[in-house]
Amino acid sequence: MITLGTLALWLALVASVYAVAASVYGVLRGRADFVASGERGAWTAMASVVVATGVMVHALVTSDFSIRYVAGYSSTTLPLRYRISALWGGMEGSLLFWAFVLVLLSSLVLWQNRNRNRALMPWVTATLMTITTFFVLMLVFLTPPFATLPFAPTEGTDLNPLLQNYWMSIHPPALYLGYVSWAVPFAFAMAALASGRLDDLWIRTTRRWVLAAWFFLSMGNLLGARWAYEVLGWGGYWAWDPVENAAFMPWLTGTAYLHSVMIQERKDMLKVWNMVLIIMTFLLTIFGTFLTRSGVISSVHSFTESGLGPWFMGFLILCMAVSVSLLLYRLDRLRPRHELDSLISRESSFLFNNLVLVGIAFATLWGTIFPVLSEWVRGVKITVGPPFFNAVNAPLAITLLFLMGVGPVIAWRRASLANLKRNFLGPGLAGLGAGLVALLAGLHSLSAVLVVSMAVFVLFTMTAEFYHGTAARSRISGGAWPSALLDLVTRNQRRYGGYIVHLGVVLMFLGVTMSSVYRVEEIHTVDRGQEFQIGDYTLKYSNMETSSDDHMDRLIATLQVSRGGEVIDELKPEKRFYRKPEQPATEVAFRSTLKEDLYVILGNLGDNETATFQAYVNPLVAWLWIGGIVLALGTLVCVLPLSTRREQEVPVRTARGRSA
Amino acid sequence: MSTRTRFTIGISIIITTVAFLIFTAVDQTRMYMVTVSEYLEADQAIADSTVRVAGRVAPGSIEWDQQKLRLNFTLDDMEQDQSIEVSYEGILPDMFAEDRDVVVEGPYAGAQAFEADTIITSCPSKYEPEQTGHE
Repeated sequence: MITLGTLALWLALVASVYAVAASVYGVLRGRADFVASGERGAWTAMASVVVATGVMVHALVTSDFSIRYVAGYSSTTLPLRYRISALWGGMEGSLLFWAFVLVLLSSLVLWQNRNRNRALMPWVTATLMTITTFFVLMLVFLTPPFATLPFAPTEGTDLNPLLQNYWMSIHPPALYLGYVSWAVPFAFAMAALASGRLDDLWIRTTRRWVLAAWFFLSMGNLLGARWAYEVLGWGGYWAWDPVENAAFMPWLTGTAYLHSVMIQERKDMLKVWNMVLIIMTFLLTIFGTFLTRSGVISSVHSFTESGLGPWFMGFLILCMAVSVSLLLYRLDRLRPRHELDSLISRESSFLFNNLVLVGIAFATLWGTIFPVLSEWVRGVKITVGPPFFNAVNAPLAITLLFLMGVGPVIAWRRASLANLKRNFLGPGLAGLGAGLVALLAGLHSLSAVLVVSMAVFVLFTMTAEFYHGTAARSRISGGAWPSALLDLVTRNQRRYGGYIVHLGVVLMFLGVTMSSVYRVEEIHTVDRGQEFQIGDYTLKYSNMETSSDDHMDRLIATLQVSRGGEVIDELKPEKRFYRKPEQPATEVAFRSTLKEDLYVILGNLGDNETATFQAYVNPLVAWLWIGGIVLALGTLVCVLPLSTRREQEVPVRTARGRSA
Repeated sequence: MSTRTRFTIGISIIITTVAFLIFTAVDQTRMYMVTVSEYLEADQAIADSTVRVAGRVAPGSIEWDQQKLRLNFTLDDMEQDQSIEVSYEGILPDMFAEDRDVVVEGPYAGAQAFEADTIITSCPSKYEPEQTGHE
């Protein structure tokens, strides 16, 4: 079996290199036979990677400890689903998994387009196979996943306990799907540049891919945040750690791209900018993988130092050089046919939203690589922490929130005073009013007041959109309001799906702002039977139990939670001591309500069961997760084929170039 | 003023704002990353800012008062025979122990005991996200 895995990787390497060469040669010489042969090469490479992954999963499931990776990340006592998730628990496995996701998506692309987009496809195949080659190259020469041990141990060292939980089974796959899916629109963009088919064919073809990539990247980030909140147990969900930033940056540029392609579809503008954005997004996904895998930047996530750094750097430079050269080569043909008409228009609000998103991405990148930069330039190691990211990104994010209220409703081309008044007078006043109420209610933080004010502004503009749309539909069809609303959404899925996504983002803004600005923290050391206060909660330390099994020893504290003299809940924070590898871990306990989370960590234990508890009250944090769910639903509304009429409606709508 | 000029101005304002935000935030929040021996030879730039000092917890130096949540220990340089005294208030991080490599973060304190706001412990084993002392 092990030989099969290694052979499969070698075959994948040869076949993917051949696929690139044959596709490029075939399309340049107009030789359809070579193009077809290249495609067969691609199928061979893809199948081989799938076989190699299958061998690895089989080895993990059957505990074949003669393989170093299996011995290092699994054990016979590990439950089945964690044996499978051990595939992405370590370096070799996660690179194999990356390649696996890439070939899955590539095969979907090749299959979808077997009779379509034939002018683009050779280049798409070549691009996807180049990326595959890079990952397989590392798997063959640098981090062979099937490396064996001289003596197979009888038991493995087990998957890290922090990774043994529900969130870790789904967070990495979602994130990888999010990272890797951006390769597809990137490949089509490269194909458009290389083939000279620079109309919006590539954009239309990849529309759903982009939404899917964006969806998975959003979910990957959110699930990671949730994992940090539930499992890492430091009371928060986002620490601006390099690895988190690595996944956040392509999300930002990807979000910018998602918006600016709408301008290209509608107005045939921003073509160069869209190319730049998709190239940036793809490069950032590779850079993100590089950051997590190379150990070049030290972080609270600790990495294996590995020899992968220079390879990733080389691949990044190669991708950048090729894509930028292609872009420059076609620059003349990408010049826009229209110019922007006015600063006060939908086009320009999208442009500014793009700049702010890219600004946040740049600031985040700057802060992430700052230690490396300062060491190169000045020879001293200087780092910046969360205060840097908060200071820079908070004002930019609030600007973004404002533009989110403006963009969807302002008129195309040039907004008249009447248009501005009609669309923004009501919501603007509501926003100002909400800000005022927030001030009077005693919110003393400027950013909290601004976020509340902007959030209300956005909610009002969106509600107005839904209201006017539904009213108009109801007048036309004479139907009842609920059916008119449904009709409205299914006829304009992207538009109203987009609004729902915005609603989710607004909720997340509120959750993040309030839970970070108004978080309350208390640390108390108490004897059994004693109590302490946090916010309006009283926590009574009533019991301490111990329990043991094969994996760990546990200390479980019981805290009785009361408010206003009434017992309302019981929290059981734990301390765990894992046996393999020997390490202590904290299991937090929290009580979540829509208003706030009460979050308790069992800290240290002293003599006579004296325990130290660290408690937090995180206001409105639940809305971060609820917002995430709304965002997911909104994206689904955009993507799913809800209505059969939609397909026919698209060209009509585009041709008419409807104004707001 | 032509539309083009207006756009140039608008775009410049955004770019300048981003640059300005980055510049001032770096200035206010930067932390020097030093070893214990570098800390002891600190120049003025380091002395004026927050520092992260990397070192190893000296064996037998840990004093922990659970009631007061007060931790005192000696941080040795990883190579040279130099050390500083560190003081910290809060929960003892899970991975904190003698002979472990840790990073302490706090304001430069010169000859006085270093008052750490945060202790970052790194995990001994392979790739994995690791929790911090108290972020």
